Amino acid sequence: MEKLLKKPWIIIAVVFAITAFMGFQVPKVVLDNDILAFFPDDHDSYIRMKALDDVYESQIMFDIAITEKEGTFLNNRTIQAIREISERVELMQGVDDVTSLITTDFPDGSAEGMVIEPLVGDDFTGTDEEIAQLRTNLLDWPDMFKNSLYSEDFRSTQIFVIINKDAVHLEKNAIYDNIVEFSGEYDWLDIRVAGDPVISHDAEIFMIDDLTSLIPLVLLVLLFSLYMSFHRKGGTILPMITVLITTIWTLGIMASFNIALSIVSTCLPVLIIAIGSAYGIHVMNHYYTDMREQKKRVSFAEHKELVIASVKHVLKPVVLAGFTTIVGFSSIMTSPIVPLKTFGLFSTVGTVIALILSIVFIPSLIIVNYKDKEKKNAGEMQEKKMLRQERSHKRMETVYNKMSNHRVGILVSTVIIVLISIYGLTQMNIESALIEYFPEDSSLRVNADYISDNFAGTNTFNIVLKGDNPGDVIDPLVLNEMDNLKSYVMERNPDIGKIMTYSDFIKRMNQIMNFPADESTEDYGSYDDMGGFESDDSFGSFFSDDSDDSAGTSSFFGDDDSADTGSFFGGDAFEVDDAVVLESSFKPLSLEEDLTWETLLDLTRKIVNEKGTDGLSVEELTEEVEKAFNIRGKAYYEIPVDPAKYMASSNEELKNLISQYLLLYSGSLDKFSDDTLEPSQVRMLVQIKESDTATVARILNDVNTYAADHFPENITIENSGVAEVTIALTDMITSSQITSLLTALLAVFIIVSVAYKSPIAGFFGIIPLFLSILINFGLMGVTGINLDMITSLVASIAIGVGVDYTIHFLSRYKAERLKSDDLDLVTKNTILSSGKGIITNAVSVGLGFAVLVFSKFVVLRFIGILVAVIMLTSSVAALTVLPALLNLIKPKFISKK
Amino acid sequence: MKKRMKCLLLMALVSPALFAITGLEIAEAHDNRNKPVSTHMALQMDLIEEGGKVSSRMIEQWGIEEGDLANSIMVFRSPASVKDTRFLQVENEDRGDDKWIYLPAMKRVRRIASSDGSKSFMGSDATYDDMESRDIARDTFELVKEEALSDFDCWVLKVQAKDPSDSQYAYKLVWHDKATNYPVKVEMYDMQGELEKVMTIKDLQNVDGHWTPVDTVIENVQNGHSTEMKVLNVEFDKSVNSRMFTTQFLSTGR
Repeated sequence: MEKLLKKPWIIIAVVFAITAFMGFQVPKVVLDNDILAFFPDDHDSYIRMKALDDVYESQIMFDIAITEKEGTFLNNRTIQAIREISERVELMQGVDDVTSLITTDFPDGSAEGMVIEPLVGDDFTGTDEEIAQLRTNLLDWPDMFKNSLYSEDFRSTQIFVIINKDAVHLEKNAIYDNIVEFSGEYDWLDIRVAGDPVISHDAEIFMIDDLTSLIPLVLLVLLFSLYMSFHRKGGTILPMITVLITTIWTLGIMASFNIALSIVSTCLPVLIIAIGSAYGIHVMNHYYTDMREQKKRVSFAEHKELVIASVKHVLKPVVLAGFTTIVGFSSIMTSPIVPLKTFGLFSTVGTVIALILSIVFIPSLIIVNYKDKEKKNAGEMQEKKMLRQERSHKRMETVYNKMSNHRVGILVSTVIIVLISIYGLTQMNIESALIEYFPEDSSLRVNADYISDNFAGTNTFNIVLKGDNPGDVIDPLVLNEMDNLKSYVMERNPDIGKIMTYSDFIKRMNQIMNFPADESTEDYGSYDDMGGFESDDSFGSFFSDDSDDSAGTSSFFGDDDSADTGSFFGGDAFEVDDAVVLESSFKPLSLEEDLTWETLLDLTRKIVNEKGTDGLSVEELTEEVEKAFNIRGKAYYEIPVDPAKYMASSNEELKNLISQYLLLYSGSLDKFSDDTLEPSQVRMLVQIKESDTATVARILNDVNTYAADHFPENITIENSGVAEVTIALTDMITSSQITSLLTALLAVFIIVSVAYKSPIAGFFGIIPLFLSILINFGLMGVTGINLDMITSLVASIAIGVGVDYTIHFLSRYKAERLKSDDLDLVTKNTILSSGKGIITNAVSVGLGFAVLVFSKFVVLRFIGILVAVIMLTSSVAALTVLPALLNLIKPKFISKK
Repeated sequence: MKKRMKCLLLMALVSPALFAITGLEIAEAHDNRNKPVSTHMALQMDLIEEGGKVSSRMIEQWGIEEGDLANSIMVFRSPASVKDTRFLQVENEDRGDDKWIYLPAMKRVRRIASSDGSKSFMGSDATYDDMESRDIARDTFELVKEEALSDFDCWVLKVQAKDPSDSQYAYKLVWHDKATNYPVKVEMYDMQGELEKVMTIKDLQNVDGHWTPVDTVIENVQNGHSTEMKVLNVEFDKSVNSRMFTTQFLSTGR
């Protein structure tokens, strides 16, 4: 240390060089708020979500909601605009797929079979008939289209843009900016964009705004509080330069190691500036005191020696204070959540840098800044200083006097506050949805709310059904339970906007393949005009089981072949359906024969009896009537589970039916299953209107409860996706809060215990911290501030900073206690001597953090307020509760020599 | 006259006569090859997932060509769940193909109508359009280079639909074997211009005077999925009763 300070210029040069280098790194700092980047790579939810990306499609998407300003979107101009937008977006870098009115197929039935046409054909010109048909088609399959491709008032439609899972966030931002830019061209439409990439995008903008406005602001606050305590230029400027350099270094290190800055780290500079300045203040304070004691003028060399001596003297307490702060911050590193880990690491790094600069760089600057005039106004200064000290002394004394009259009151009110806080603690809500970090009136929240109100919501997760063996999941009984699970969960959770499932496709397939047959169906080719079949072997099949004559003409397969048919494969060339034609147990009413008032009345009466009049809508009634007549195959919009209805002999045959549907419909289902013919897993996509984690937790619970009771053993259920990941994050926040809190408290306990060679002292050391943290959580519970990634930092910050007050107070108290046995006097002297320092520090840190109330993020405003409050409570607790308890319990460690 | 104009136009479009033959001539030569009147094949279609998991299905196929129009019927032989599913495709002169399917579990014949041929054909990496033989009048053919593949010395043609909306691809690169004119490799590029699928003929054999791809792989390079089609057995020009290509036959098997 001494050697170092002998060459102050070198130190200054090195510090400036490093600062310049780091300064160039800072602009390279990466911002990343992808929720998946918050997870450790080996976390189950993370792995499941990644697997989902691989099996189905990327889970990252933009949701473009298009609203007609007047009337419905069902007009040619808008439809063509949607086509144009879909095509433009599809060509953008990083876009995997676009789903819109234009890209969606409409599988329909006909008397003859199935027709798959685009909802909007290439030749769509918007004639009245086309518009009417489009509307009819959209309404025909509500499970798929309602609240997805059309809002119920037909004013809005959506375009979903699936982003490649490997797309970097710059690409995502470019896509978003692009969409926003061209949406201005469609002035008759309101175009809103939502989705997780928008959250990241807006978070970045907010972060940059915050960093550029809050750093100057917190520096201003620091300037103010430094000037208030020193009233001198050097004392104001030097600690300030130090924290500024510390901030540059810390961000520079993050940038050069490519460590991304998240919303959490946005408060890192504020923390470094507010807290890191304390060490510089300490060093300056001591230097000024030592200088004042100099009665004569000092030469440059003498001044240098004085500075070095002063630093040596202050080294131990400053390093100790720094060490306890580092302990508090590094406890955050125990968290598995990446941004918290990063925050813990770099708040520690920042503190270490601030500490080192304060004891090396500041003295160097003081040394080289030696001015002969230094002592000129010393006398005057001294006077002023004395005057100020006297005034503050008087203030402290008044405070003390007031307090000492209410000693019992202090303990009683403490108990009351503790009880209220415990109640508040039970009310605390834990939240991890990123969108909740934004103010409610931010365009992001407004757009997301609009989409939730008009469509199915943007918060999604998947329920994945996995079978032990391929094909297990397409057992009709399993698919039917899948369908039931959907109804069950939707009925219990009105916040669910929509669930799209694999089974919806099978139901649709079953419906359109069972459209009522029209008698006039034309067959292609008729035997009549083609002459008879002369003999079977004229078209010889290659495959046959019969091996009577391997010399047969068309035989390729030795003895496996058949002279008879020459089939390549076993069995007859064709399965000839000689079996008696079975009859379906289901007989729809006939429109021609049964359409009488009597049947209709009977039917409606029957429906009302079955369904009850309560909440039976016209829509439902119509639906039931249509089912009875099997209009448009509606009686078959179901999973085929009843063998009698489907003329099947067993469930196995119904499963084959589904396999055959899949063979036919293959390719259109790859977004909902892992294999077209024999899937090992199929999924359901759940869309939720609310973003808060409590709602999602409730839904997940319902899913798991139903699944446990209703699915066979060979089927397992997995929930994954953004909403589920958010829940997992919530659990991690809770557990990491507890871990880091306990780690930090334990560390404080050990430090204080060792310092006073008594575990009792350790308890006294953590009491003020414990109290203030409890009050913090209580306050959060009572005021409804969520515990989230960011507010979970408050406790660790409180420990890191607040422990200094306790240590400071205890050491003063002990010193006074050794001088006197009069506890009142001891307490008074302790408070008078240490109170000012503690309160000054608490106020400056509190004020520093308070600038966060100007943040664009709600959650940062909260942490600003909470840290300010906890600074107050922990300093007040150190000055009131601690002496009250010390005087009441009279522990031995405090009076031991 | 009109035809001549077209030829001139094409020649103007094709890069200066670097090659002694034009792309269109190569395509025409292949199109005019001696085609069998009837085919009968046993096919094994392997669907191969990215991880290498294979699921096989066996298909028997009959086809006839009547005056340039092809009719074909496919019968799925395995796996058991789709056994005896039959698929009939009838080519029309003036409109798209007619398609019918017979699902044994439904015991009904259903017509499949779809204007979108870009859908997967029976779960394979080929689309319905890929399976269709395309009228060469719909595309332009540009001879871009010569290239030797491991087994074939090839002309490489860039094939593009004259009307961009007439194809699911932006363009295709087609490797025509110089010796047989047969296309032995095709690269298909999606609308964003990125390589989507590669079809490679691993084994081309001459069977009764007809060049026959007996082992073909189509790989979707974007999702890693691939399909291998192996011809287990083939017969050409045997008499096939045209009654087989009717919906009545489809539903009854006779």
